[in-house]
Amino acid sequence: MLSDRQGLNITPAYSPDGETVAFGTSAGGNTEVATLRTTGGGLQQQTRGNRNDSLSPSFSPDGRQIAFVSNRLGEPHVYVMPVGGQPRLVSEYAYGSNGYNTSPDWSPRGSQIAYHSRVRGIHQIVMVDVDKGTRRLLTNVGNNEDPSWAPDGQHLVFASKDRDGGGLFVLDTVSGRVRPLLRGAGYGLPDWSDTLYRASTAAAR
Amino acid sequence: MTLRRVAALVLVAVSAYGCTRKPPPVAVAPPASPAARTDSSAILAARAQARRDSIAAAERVARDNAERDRVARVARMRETLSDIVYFEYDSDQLTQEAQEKLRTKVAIIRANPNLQLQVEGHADERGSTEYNLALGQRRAETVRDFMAGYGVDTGRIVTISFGEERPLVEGGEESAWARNRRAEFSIAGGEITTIPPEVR
Repeated sequence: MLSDRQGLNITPAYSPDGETVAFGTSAGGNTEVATLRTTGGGLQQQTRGNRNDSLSPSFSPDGRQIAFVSNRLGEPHVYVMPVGGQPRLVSEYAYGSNGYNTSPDWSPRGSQIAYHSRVRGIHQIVMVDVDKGTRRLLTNVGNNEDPSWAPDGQHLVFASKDRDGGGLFVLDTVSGRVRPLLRGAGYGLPDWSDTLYRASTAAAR
Repeated sequence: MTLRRVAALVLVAVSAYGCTRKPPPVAVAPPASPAARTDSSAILAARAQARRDSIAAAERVARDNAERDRVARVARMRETLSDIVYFEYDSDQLTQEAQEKLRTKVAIIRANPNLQLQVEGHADERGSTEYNLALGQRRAETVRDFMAGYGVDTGRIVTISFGEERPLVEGGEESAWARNRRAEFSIAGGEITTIPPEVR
């Protein structure tokens, strides 16, 4: 047992060196990002909101930064912060536009973060380069959510409730090609493991 | 006036007087034998028993009615306690209607010190699975904090979030979403035994 704190203990993510877990947990009436040593203990609260939530952390490849979601502006957006530092907004924001950007996943190979964003009422996969500040819309068909990077830093797996009847899909961020991985209702929150690296490279060929 | 006429008038008067009063219940005739005395006391005892039985039956009916009334009131209290509170889109703010409902629940909880409540926060299907878990939790904790503000010990309220996983209504339109953005309530421990005057 790593954490049995009262309330939520959700959205855990390992640091690349495997020594730390970041997760969302209840603190003072809302959800905050905190870190723990994987050997247990060493809890450190990384965000401090006031009646707003921070969750869904994802480490940068060097383990020094964390991408996460927060609704501190009144609607959920993606932020990046150095561990123990101040957050900066990286998803698109316009005052009064009711944006909705959630579920970030930091590429294991670089400075790209994939997340899903509400575009004209439905969710699409977006990629932001946090070094260059550039964003790319990667999908435009159906509702697409919860992207997770393959270890190659090129492919993403994501979930859709309505695309081709719903299921899990693999997206090549270079060619833009999407192929179904698993069809059917009820699939969500995919997370690409390191051991699927070869399957990923096979798909790329 | 002859003596016969006088006697006739007396008789008429006596019979007229007799019409306004009941005749004596039992003719007093020959001197009572021991058996007759036994009969008489048996009748009196039977009458006394019948009276006691009648009182007991009336008391039983009154008790049954009171119990039925109490059970019905407790059932109403349970309904009031489990009455769902709804939220606006992506919000954990309590509407006036929600606050009104919660104040009534607080009265029941405060009147029943053994009662423990579970508050479940839910979200509609829009948004991400993860974010909606946090939103549902915030809704449940907002409810708990509101009740704490009216003197309910937070240790008596358990909060849990189901995010968007347990919709009350299936459907992809606002009418369904509005019913799914909610806090549900269930008794997590104890019983309702006392009806607070505020909700009688």
